[in-house]
Amino acid sequence: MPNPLFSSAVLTSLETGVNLLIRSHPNSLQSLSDLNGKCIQFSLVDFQHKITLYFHAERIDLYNQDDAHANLIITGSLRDFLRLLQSRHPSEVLFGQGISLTGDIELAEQFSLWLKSFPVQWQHWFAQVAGEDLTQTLARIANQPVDQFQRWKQNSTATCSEYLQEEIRLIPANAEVIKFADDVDQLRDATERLEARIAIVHSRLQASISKQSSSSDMPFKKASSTRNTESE
Amino acid sequence: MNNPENKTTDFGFKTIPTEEKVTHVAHVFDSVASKYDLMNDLMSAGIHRLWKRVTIERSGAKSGHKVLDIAGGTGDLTRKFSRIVGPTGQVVLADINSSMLKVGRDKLINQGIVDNVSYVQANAECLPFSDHSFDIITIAFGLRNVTDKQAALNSMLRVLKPGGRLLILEFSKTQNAALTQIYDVYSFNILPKIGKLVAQDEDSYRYLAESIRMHPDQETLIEMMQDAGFIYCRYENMTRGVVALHTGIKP
Repeated sequence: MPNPLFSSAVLTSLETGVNLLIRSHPNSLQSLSDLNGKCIQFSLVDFQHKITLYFHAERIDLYNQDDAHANLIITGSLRDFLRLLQSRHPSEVLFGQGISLTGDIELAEQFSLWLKSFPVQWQHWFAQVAGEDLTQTLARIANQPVDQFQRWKQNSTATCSEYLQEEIRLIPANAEVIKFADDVDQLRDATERLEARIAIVHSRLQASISKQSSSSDMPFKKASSTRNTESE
Repeated sequence: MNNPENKTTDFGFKTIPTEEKVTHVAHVFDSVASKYDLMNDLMSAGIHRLWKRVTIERSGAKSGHKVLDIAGGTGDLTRKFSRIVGPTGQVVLADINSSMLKVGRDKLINQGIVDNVSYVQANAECLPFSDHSFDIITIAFGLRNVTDKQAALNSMLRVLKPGGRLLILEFSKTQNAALTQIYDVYSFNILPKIGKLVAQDEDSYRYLAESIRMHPDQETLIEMMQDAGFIYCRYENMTRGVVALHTGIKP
């Protein structure tokens, strides 16, 4: 859990910045009245931290509160929330795409509409408030855990497969598997061809046998018909 | 400290008759009221706003709550509580000093905060409210000025609702010896000079520094709260113990 004074200082700065931004965008200020009196809590799962927003007619108050009685709780990772700020279509991120909602869903839609009234990148307006250096640092920090995780994931996957294939030879290499599959396909084709040939040979043989048996039956029939005629 | 036998108490490092403390404290705050906010920012480099923000965050305040802000002075906490409790809640700003109360009321009215805030001039030792009236009581940087702190805690317990929360934000004792030395130099040498320069009142700010040293430490205040009847009493040091936030619940 972060130092309470440090997180309060960060939140104070953020609150000041957000309210400056709201006042500089008349559309946002006007649509804020739709959210007046509401309370939304953001639960950041990667930091185990909750930030509560209290909406008023002309401003928003931000607090670090675990026990706030919020109308709506939005849960997600920091990256998901940054995507939400950057996205031109917040509903692509807000609803079922990394972020979960608990509580007043209608409020979530109102909040989403209100966010659309901020047609700027979060880094752009944050830089106006806090400066370029801090914004770049924050963006780097926000992306750093994700980038690190992805690099770790790639490294782990490569290391694991190399160990299984080269060290303990528990599983074959990819190339070997592909060659084996090709060999199986070829064998299957050859087998089918062979089956077809066998079928042809069998049918010819059957035909040949039938022909032979019918031609060997004919002299017996002639002899028996002659005997019958003589007896009469 | 209070001495019931001799009926004396501390006023900073001085010992004065108990019944005179209220008057002495009143003179201090009559003198500093007009520059109180500015001096707070100068003395604490603005950090007092963060201490108060943490107090709000620990309060559990929500829409519809009734909050009593004792020694609320110029209304920093009242303003924030007013927004949180909303039109269905109420905040009472109470202060024993009429000058501070007036400054606070004017400031809040100028900020448009009028609907759910009321103002009461009251002594924390005998609060003029019915039993079980409030969900939350806060007293920020005021308890050290109260003559009979135990009586004040008893009174706060009475007016709290069962399950209600008390939050005491106050200067306290640092645990670090080096920091204590730096703090003492700052409090007794620099702070009064700032008071003289900005508020034209060196003595009042010397009293404020001395009163911090005479205030009970963290553990002693916990015991006092428990003696009053509060449960789940705990404290949270901020800025290495320069300030402590004590919380307790009425059973």
